[in-house]
Amino acid sequence: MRLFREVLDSQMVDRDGRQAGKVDGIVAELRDDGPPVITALENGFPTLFRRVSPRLGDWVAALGRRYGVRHGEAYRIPRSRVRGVGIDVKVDLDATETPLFAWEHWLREHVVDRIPGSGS
Amino acid sequence: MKPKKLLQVALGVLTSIGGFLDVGAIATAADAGASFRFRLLWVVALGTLVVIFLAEMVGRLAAVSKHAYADAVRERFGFQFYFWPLLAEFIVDFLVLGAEIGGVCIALQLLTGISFRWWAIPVAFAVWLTAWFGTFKVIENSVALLGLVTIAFVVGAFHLGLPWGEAGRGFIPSAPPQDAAHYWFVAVSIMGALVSPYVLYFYSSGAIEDGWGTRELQVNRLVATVGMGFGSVVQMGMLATAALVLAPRGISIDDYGQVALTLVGPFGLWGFYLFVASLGVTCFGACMEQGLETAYISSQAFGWNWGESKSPRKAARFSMAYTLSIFASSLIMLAGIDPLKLTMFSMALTALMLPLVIVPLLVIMNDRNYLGEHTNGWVTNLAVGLIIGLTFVLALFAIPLEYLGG
Amino acid sequence: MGRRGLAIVLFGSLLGACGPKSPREQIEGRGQSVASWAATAVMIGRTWLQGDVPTVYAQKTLRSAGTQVTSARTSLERSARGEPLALAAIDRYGRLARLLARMAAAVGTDDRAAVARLLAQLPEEAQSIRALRRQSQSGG
Repeated sequence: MRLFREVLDSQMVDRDGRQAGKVDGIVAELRDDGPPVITALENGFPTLFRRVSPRLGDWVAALGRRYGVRHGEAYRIPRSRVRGVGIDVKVDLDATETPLFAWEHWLREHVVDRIPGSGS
Repeated sequence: MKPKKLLQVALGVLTSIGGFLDVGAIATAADAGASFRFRLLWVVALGTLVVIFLAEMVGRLAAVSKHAYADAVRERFGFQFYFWPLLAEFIVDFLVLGAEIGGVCIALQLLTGISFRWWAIPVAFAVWLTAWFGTFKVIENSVALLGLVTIAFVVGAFHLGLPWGEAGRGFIPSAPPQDAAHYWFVAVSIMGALVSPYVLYFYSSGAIEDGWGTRELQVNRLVATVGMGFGSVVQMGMLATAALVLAPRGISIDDYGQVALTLVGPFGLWGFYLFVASLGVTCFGACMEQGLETAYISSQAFGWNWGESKSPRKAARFSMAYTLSIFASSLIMLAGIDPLKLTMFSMALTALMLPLVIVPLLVIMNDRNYLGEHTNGWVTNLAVGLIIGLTFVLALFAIPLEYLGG
Repeated sequence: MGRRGLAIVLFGSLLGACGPKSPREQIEGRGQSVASWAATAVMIGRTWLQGDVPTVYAQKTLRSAGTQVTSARTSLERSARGEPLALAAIDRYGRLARLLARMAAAVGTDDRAAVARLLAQLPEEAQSIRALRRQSQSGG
């Protein structure tokens, strides 16, 4: 059970050392014969704000479905991809190819790249 | 100490001074000096002590645990708690950044006679441009260097002939001779201006960006103490010039135009321009720090890739966060809200939200999981906790009294 | 009573203690700011004559001093209800505001003689405003 506290709200870092969002939620499986087991990590505003207040979370999700780049869906990282839990949680994937970077890419393409001096 | 380390300390000290001095420091010090002469010096001293302790703490946290302050609070307490300090910080940041932009606009108004409202967008644009194109270190250091112009206040105070006895007595806490409500309101605002969370978030993010480790602990102590201490001396100089120039003439502070007279007293026309430069440069620097800080805490709260040393396209969400916050806050000035009133209000509001930001830090600073053997001593805990608690209680009473005029 | 109830009572009593202000309280509160603006104008006038502050600044600040005093006067007018002390203050504030406006104009046209003349009248005005304030404080 201690693992829950250690993982939740930690920084995730991808294969190439990129900051890849926080662990906003944990998906666990209840078992009859022992403590629950973490099956996946979740990232996304709806998951996150549901923890503050379920209504706030639903509202954020509705907003996301309507206008969001991620369509108000949480992204799940299966446990098999989790490599290590230290200061950060290391996940074995390329974050830029996942919804974790959807907003980053959307903003880059639609806004940042259109402004001079945005660098390379 | 090796030359390289010495340079690091010098630059750190410079930027701490830069972070310390801003629109809040100027406005609260001038109000205190003009209304109560030297009687509020003790609050400046007390606030300085606390901010030195706190800056050292967030620096130590970054160096030992590799966590920025916002990172650590979310991780340790969970988002269901962190949401509240985060929300409070966003609101205060919005207002304070507005006030800082207002400070630059006022400097331009003093110089040109063109109303501050018209400067809101150009100033916001200039701030944004510097953040967008500049590299962090270059900007930070040059602004900090220009900020040395504020030493004029200290020189001015000596030039006018500081009454040592009276100034010395100001360091002993005393009850106000008259107008108690305003006295405590200014005291609370001074605390809010000194112990501003944005300086702490900024300091901690800087330490992470510089990759501090346990080897930097000594540098951290030195930078926090000397940097904040020096900033405090300048603020005391501001208070003293106001006490010596404005108070005897019966001028209290209702407008930045009156604050400008503080340096005219000792230096004449030169003093006027020195004041304009001090206000403009420190507030411009503070705008940058404040805008970046909003981007830092957003990124750290949500785990985005961040860093001023990255080009905007390498950190799109980060750079959009400061872009948005700079332009959003400039709207307050565009709307023509009085910059001085906004400053005093947002400083007092900062004091009110301090426990929400500082208490979690104190808990983390005593957690061996984060600090190992470098946890806080009990004296530090007690001193900081007590002063923050007192400030909060005072703010609870002083703010309604000031605005409802009890 | 819950914590929220207590907060409401506390806040309510605070509000109750600070209802709409009487003219006397206004003379005391805003009179401070009006007197301070008069003193500011004195310093600006003197330093401008010595060339120690730029003209744009002096003019702009004197103008906003005038505006501030006028606004104090207007809010006093609204609550005066014929009280003699308030009427006297309204009169004084009006004179001061006119003086400040004339001074701002004189600075703008670089009329040093006029500025000096107006400046000479200011201390007396400031004096009488302070006196009014003392009267309202002592309740006399």
